[in-house]
Amino acid sequence: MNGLELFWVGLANAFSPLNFLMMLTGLVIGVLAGALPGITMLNAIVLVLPFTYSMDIVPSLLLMTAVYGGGIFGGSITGILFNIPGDPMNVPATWEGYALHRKGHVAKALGVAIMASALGGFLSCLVMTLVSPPFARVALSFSATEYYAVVFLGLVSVVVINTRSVASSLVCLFLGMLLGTIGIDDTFGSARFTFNSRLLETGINFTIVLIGLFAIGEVLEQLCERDKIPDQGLKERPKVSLMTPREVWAFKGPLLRGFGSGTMIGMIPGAGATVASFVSYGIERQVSRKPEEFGKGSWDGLNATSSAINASTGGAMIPLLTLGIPGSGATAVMMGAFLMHGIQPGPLLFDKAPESVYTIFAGMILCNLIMILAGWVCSKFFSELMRVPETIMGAFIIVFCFVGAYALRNDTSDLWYMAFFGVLGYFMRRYRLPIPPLVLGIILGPLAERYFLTAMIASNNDVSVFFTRPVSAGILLVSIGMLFWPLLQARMNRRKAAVQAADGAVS
Amino acid sequence: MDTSSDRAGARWATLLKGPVAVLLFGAAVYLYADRSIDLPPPGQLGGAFWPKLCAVGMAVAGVLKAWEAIRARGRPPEEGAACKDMDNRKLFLMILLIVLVVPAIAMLGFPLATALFIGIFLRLAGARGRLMLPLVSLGGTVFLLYLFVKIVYLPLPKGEWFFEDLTLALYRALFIL
Repeated sequence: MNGLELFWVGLANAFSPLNFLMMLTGLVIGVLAGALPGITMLNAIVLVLPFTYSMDIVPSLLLMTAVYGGGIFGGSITGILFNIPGDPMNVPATWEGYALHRKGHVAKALGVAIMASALGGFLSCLVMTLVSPPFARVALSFSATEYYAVVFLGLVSVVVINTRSVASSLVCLFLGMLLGTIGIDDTFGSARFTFNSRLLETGINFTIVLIGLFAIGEVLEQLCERDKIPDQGLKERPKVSLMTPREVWAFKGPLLRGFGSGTMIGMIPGAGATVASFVSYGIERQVSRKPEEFGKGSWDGLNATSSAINASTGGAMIPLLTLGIPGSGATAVMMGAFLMHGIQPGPLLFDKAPESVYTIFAGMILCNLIMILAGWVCSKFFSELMRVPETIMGAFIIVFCFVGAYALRNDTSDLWYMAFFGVLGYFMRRYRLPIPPLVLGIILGPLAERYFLTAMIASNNDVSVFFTRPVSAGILLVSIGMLFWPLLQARMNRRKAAVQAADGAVS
Repeated sequence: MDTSSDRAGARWATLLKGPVAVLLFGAAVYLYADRSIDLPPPGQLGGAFWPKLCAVGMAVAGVLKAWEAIRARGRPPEEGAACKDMDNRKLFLMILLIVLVVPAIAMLGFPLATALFIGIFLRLAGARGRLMLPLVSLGGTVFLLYLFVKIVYLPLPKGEWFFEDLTLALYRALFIL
């Protein structure tokens, strides 16, 4: 059978009652788990793993891939509604989505996040189906230099996130990177900034930092404003307004760019949805016609980053299915499921069990379409919470933050970090220090360090290695271009204004 | 009496205190990393390299910030740049509550500490109503216990000494255990 015939067989298999039920169940579990702070998408995949022991490999994989896709999107719901991103990958969607919520566009913001995620995921699964093997071979040739270049591109996006003060962004970015170095170093095993404290030796988990900085700071700012009457919650029933086909067409640029960057980055083992979300956000800010709206509620930014995070899921499945390389925690658990069923993922899988592979492909494509329904239902459920008065909501948001911090390692010492970063988040708002670069630094800093040091060890400390390999040189040149583009743009605008002023004076 | 040079000095101090603090912090972190982190293996960059690089980056960003501040002096503040007027007493008490709930959760256990936290927080935030406060704090805590302990199997802190027994008794009474 050729590829197309296998796809039709796979699609028919995906519609079998058990497979369809697994997809539906997985999506609901994934979206709910992603949306609840403290329960990550990865936790949810691990939780459903024992239920797959008695199943065949195809329904097992469909259940897990549905949890994967739904979980990645789910964190955007609480990000948009309450400024609590479920996972680090939902941070850019939170920046734009929550700003849009504050402007009164909560229904549309939720709808855009659902549709953009579903479309990004759908298109990336099509790519996965069509071009898995050649792309996987390219990704296999990547080394630490290319990984470093991709992470560097993510870090550079900090310059384009905050146009008000590049220096403030850099201060916060480097502070975040420094916080990311606390604990035992991965490469050399040295203790750094631990001050002989057990609490500091384990390092700072970035999920705690981002929940604390965003959520607790926001609650304190909302509730402690002088002479403000606390909001009593929405009177009317909140809605979730999905994008119309015309709106999808209007945002085709951000959606396609998000899908492209998300799929490409998803294919790189170790990069994943978090890097994809930041890089796509940075690229979109550069090419957008309305760059000034970024950070203040940009539809382009929300579309691009939502599309990218789910597009990374299709990309991440490519190295797993075609090479047997899990590129992330989620795909590693799926690899475990394969091995438990006595199947070794890799090139031979396409020869030995092509129908199963194409059923997974077709199932993932379907999952992204069903996700529109599952996302809509779950968003409606979470939107109902908007009717709760602000004071009660504030108290429960803080409790959820503490539970979220505790759930990561079942360790009460993480609650101290949560309290510290919550208070820090408030003061950063008060003194107008940008929070996103700090978050970016603490998430991507340790990754950048690991890849940089690995590349240096492999090349005997020869920095030119980053520029002699074509892929890393290309990505680094794009990064440098992104870094200096705002300065160049400002200079060109000033020159244009001066020429116009001179012309005006002459006439 | 203020002279114009005193006023100019004060203006410069206000303008540059933030950037100088960042610069000094970067320098201090660099020196601390240099002295406290293990020496690198021969021919390798070592564990101190990255923190030192970040510290240098931070110091350079401090210099950039100073340059930005000097360039922006005399310009009118940006739209929306003014800080919100905050109720500092309420803010202080809420921050204190957020800090105190951490040892309270470890010592009293999650259920008791959470119920107390929600009740006091609501009161501080301005919620009124004789029935509403206990209803929300107790009802909310029970809901959280069912969600996280019964459904998600999260072993939330039970507290120490007498409070551990109290939490276990509560779990039994609510059919969570």
